[in-house]
Amino acid sequence: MDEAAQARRQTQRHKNVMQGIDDLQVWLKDLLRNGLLQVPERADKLFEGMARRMVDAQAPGLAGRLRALGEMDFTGESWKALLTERLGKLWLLTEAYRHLERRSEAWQCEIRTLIGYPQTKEEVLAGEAVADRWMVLHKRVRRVDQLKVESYWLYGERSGRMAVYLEFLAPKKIPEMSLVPGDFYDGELCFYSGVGSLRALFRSHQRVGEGGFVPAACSGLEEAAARYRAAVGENPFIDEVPTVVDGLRLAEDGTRSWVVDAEGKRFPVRIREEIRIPLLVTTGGKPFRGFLLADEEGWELLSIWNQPNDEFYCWRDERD
Amino acid sequence: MNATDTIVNAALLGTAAKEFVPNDGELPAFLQEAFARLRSETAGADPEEVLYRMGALVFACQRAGTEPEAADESLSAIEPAAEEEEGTTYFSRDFGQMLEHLCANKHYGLLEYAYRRAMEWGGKRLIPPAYLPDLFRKAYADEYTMYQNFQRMLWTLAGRRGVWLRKQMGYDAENEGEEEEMWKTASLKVRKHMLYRLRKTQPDKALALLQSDWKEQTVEHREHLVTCLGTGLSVADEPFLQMVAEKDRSDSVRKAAQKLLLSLPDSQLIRESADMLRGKLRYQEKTGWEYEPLEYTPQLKTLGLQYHATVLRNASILQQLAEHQLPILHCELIERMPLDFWAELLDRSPEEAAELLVRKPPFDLFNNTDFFEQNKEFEKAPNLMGRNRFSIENNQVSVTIHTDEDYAFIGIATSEYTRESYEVKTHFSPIKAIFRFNDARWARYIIQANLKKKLTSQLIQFMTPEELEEFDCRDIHMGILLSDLADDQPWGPKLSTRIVEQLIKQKKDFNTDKIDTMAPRIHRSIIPLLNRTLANKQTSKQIAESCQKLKEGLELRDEIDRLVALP
Repeated sequence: MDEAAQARRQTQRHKNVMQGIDDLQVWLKDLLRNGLLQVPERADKLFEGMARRMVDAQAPGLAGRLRALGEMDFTGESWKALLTERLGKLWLLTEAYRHLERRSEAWQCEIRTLIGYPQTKEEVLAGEAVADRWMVLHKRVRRVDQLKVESYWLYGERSGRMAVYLEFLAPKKIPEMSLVPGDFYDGELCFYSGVGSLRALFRSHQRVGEGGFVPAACSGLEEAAARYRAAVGENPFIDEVPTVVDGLRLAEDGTRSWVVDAEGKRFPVRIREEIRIPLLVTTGGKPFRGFLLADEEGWELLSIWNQPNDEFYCWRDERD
Repeated sequence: MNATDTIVNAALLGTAAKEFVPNDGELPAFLQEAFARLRSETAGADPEEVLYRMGALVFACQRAGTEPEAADESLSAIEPAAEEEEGTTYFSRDFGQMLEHLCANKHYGLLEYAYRRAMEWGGKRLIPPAYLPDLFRKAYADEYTMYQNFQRMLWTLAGRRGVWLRKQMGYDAENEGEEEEMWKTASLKVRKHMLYRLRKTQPDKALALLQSDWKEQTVEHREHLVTCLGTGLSVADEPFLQMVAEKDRSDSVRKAAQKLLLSLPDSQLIRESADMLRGKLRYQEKTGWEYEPLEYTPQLKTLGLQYHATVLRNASILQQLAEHQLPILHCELIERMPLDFWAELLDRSPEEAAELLVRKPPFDLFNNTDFFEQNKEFEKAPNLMGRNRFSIENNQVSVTIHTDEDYAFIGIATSEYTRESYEVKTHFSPIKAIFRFNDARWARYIIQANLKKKLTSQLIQFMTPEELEEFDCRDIHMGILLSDLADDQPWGPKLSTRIVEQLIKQKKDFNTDKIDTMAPRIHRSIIPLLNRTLANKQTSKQIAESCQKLKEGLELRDEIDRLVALP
């Protein structure tokens, strides 16, 4: 009975999503027909209406992407390429969902997840677990309306795997886990199904008092770039690619910051203003190992290991 | 133009304006082929769909080609900080956190105290670098504390990492040879800080920096910057200051320079003022002070006499006053004179001269109404608000003199409707001269003579700790007393008790500034007094809170002592 009911719900949901995608695609075409030049003037209202339509269509993933478009920084010139790219991906995602049956099982799962189909906690924890000693590389807190979203990036010592653990907290709700950046946990992580998925849940965990480690790192920015290319090549919808890179130093050209490796290769890097000076103070200008997150907007430096004694430093990261 | 630019431009323009069809060469060959395939596979598709799909492909290709940029001469990594001296270590994190707490809660008095105690390590221990940024920001943010000595202690306690960090934070550098470069682009605030710092160790260099672009500075900047020469002032500064005092376009800048020249006992301005007074002033043992009238000459104006600009503008008024032997000009000139002038004039040692100037000050004239009552020129006018008034009437001007305790107010009616007034001190006080010349010798003579408490009480900052301990400060305004007490001297138990008792008696809460001034210096023996006050039910809420805060301040001081204790 339950299975039948579930099947009916799934079928109805698929129908709702398809109708939502129909509307979205019409809207996307209208947008592109008129051109994107005027979008910044209307951004605060332009995307919200269609985002709500996607919520109605049971496609919260698409709603989230639309809202993210509305929250872009439209000052300067960089929004033009970023908006074009994201709209293209959004179109691609809707088309991919239309032709889901042509995809592999892994891709079907990935696309459904991106659309907004949930994977239940039970399903995830029932999957294969990766047992390892995990280091918490960074914590980010974002406030989305009334909800607080805590994101933790993790690295497994033996597996060399990266993972992301998310906590969604309504007001006054206590988090299930209070992970501390720089701490180590012996535990089993179960990864969400998909293609190159980093999101995971702890099946078990135990804080480790001693016996920490320093994550293996890319020797320089070329290797880091190669990892990035591999990740986006495997899944072009991936939002963030975390990497640890050795031997970095900071450079500044008056308008932005850069990370430079031992070979003199460089990437522009985003460093939040409130951590720029603490970062300089901590490193004294000397090389450091850095935890970087690469996304569509570039590379962001989040945490470091100060050499030569590999002392770990992470700064508070809270965003609205 | 790269491939993504082609897509972006098409998207910005919109397909209604122009359907996306890349021209030859706008896309790499493989993307051109991909576009052709896309068109054929999606025949009949909307142009928007084609552009979206092509856009997704082009950007995916771009991502797939992500590479770091190659090394470039135009950009180099930030040079690392120099290593600290061998044998140097850092204070504990607890001490760093204490400094952070003091700074964040504006306990600047205790912050200075903490720096001073830390300096006792002779530079062998430094503040942990993690805590430096906020301390530096505070050092540069506050106009007043910028010039406090404790900033210099902070630079020492920050070590070589601190020098490097200040540069990274955009503040000035300590490195030799970099000041000139920094000066060129520094803001007014940073320039002032540079001058203040350099004036203590390399005053000539500071003067040279100031002179380097003096003429290009605005009036406001010139006025601020010339005042900085007050630190480390010496005769070497006189030529520049004299030039500014004579030739600057701005009256306020000229006055600022003149004020500094008056602080140099051997300056030309002081010598000329002394020359003007000599021969016009005598002291006789039996008859006291005698003086000759001073005639108005243009030279008076060049001497920058400030008070009586109104009078100086009108020579006839000056003449009127001189005829009535009112020693207006004498008063201002004598207040400029250093102790050595008086020693020479009185033919006594400086110590004897200092004592005599207290016992028998010149120009006690306005304080002595007999002069006016005996002089037929003056008419006694009805008392106004308990003050004596005398007036001179003539056809063109009336002069009314009010004598009060410390000041005579001279009002000049230049017409029926126009009246200007200014004040003259009724008696000579050496205090202004002592502070202007920072003459500790003169101050010590007066303190030791101890002839007039009112005078001595203005010289608190020159007293030894033993003298302070015995000094009865009960009549002195607490705000003035606390600001006068020297920065780095701890107070003895008697002084501490008198101060706290006085504050409690005043029944006003000790504001945060007072507590911040007291906490680093006050003797711990006052704690029972604070506790009694707190326990007393009649103590007001405000006083109780103040006593509690003072106790907490003492606890913080104890903690600082513990954290920086020498082995």
